[in-house]
Amino acid sequence: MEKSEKSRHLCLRALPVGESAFIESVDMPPRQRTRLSALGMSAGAEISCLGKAPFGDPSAYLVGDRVLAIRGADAEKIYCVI
Amino acid sequence: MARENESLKFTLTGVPNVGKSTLFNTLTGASAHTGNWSGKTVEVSVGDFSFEGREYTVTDLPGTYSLCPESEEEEIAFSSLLLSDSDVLVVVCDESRLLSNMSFIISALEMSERAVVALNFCESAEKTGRQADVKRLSDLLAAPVVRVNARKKSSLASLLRAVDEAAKMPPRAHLLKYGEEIEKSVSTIGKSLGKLDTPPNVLRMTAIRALSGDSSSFRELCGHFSVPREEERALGTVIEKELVRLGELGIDSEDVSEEVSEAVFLFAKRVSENAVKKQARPRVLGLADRILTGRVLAFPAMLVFLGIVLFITVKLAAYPSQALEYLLDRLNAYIRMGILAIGTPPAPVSLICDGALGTLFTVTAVMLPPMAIFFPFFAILEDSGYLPRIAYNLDRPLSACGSCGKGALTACMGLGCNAVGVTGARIIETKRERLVAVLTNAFIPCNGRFPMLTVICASFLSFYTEGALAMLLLIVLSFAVSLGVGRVIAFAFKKEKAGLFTLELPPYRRPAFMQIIKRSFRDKTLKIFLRAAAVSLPAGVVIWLLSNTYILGVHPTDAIVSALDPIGRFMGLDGVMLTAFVLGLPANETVLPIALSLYGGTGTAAEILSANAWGVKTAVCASIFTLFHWPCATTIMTVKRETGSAFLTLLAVLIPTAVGILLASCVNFIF
Repeated sequence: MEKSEKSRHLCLRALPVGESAFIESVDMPPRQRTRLSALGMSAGAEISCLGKAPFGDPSAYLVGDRVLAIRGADAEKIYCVI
Repeated sequence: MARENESLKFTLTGVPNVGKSTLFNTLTGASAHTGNWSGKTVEVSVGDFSFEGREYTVTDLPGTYSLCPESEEEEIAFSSLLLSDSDVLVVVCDESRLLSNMSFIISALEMSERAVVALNFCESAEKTGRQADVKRLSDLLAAPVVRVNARKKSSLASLLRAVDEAAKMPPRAHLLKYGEEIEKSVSTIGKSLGKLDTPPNVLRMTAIRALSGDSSSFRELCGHFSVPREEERALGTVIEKELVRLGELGIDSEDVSEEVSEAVFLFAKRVSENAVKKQARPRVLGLADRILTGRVLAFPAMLVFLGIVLFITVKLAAYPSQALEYLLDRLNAYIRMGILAIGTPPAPVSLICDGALGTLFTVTAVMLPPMAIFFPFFAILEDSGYLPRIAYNLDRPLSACGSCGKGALTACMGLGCNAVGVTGARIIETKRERLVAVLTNAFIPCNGRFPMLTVICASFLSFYTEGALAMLLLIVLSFAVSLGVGRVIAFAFKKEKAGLFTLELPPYRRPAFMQIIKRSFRDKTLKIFLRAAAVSLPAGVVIWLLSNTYILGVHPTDAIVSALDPIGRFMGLDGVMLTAFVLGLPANETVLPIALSLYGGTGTAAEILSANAWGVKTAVCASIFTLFHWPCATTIMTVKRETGSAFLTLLAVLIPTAVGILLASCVNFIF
């Protein structure tokens, strides 16, 4: 199957406002990964960046139908693909 | 299963922000009581009510995002489910956001024997076209699914009927099945755990957890059933053997854990795809949030809300306070006439009317109106969904000060009552930030200290101009000092790492005004006021005795006042004020009444204070010390309870005191 578009790999922190991506992997200790899973952020889930806080951090992300605020330091460890 | 004449017990569970508590309150009306749960000190609400001739007991658990608990509240919720003796589990969900609720629904159903799924916020779902296919949902989840409107009692009939039906059903089969080897191990462990009087689905969950490397449920069950040590070890060995067996097959506990997560995820996906309409995803935040969290308007908006809260609590409360003061004064006079008329000697009359009732009535007049306004207002703000936005906006600046976004929320709770703020620190998941929030909460002036600040400012500064400005500056000062000290504390405890921060921004909802006002008045205002009143009465008696009796030829209060006078004057106060602060330890509300009665004389507070050599500088020092001194007795006890450490409690007492003495002394010497 040919890919018609190039897929881009990036960390969640780099996802611009208004864009969506799919989560590939999470580079955190198992306990934190489970926590994120419970909130809907597991591999294969679609995530969109909806906006940033006044000081630039945290950012608001849409996962499923839930809006979550996540700090950049943590978003750095979540790997996505567009 | 409940017999016909017994009360049918069911438990409400669900993720946060789905309306569980609203549902609970609608069901139970005013008859709810809070219960202490399994030795932990989070209060779980339990209520009894009857419907169509049947008796029910409903338990409301704290909202929890996942059944792998992160905070103490979530641990309570999970333990309650683990050790529950309820007949039916009701999983409450937000129909307009079913996707995000799905994993939790599935995990909760897996742990229960008999369950009902309740869909709330259905009008919202209808408006946005997100209605679920109730029949398909019910088939896929193998549980009855009922629509409810948590605010309307009439809609709850169908829920209760479903609960009745569910109670008669046979136990649920499980929805999720794992790999063959894992299932074998689960079965083995489940069989050996079968000695414990626990439903099979709970045992299954415990076994799966143990295989994922988490034996806390197992230990909790053993603890709950008082399983003797050797037996617990024997059961533990069975689990160990299975772990080893799976390990040899190349399946370690992390693999089990991932398989479980994936199973839940895939099942949730399947259910969602079949029973929930697919929705267009928004690309940016809604308009309200673009304003309230946008770079330009976020902070002005927060200041406006804070300003409104302060304005309402201080200004608006002034009128009822004056009215109450007048009425209670008259009441006191009548009581005095009455007991004099029946021949009581003057000393006990004075004890009762000037001492006990005098203090009680002053505290009532001064405290009740602001609390009656603040707590409901705060609760309305909470119900609307705005509070998480405050935490969101302030997270970055607060993190730089050793706190975090949620620390702003605990500080706001502290404005109502410091003890409430300390308890509220539970919402902070990371230990270090929670500690900072607990230790700095006493810097925030609570409703008990606000009136005192108002009176002092009003007495020495014209209230409308400098007075109001002074109040605002004092609030800013208290927040600033709180942050500064927080930074220091965070530095001192810096070996604790910062953890994962996640905060949900729930949809804005119209608050259930009447219910909130009634509920917060009953649960917060009345409770805290009665506590203060219960303290004021004996405090008034004690003060009267100390001021009017003689020990070694001198009034005890005079002795204390003279002893504390040098320290007081060093700080820009005097012995009387300092004594009042010391004697006001049980409740901050009593400090000003005590001071005024120690000064003696009549007239308004302004008159009495001026007559005792108070000037603007004294007022400033007094205000500073009001902001920064030892927490009240209730707060101290709450800190001890929340931290479990005598050392930390001592810090909570010493830090604000030291800051207060330092700042007041500096002002005294510099100006």
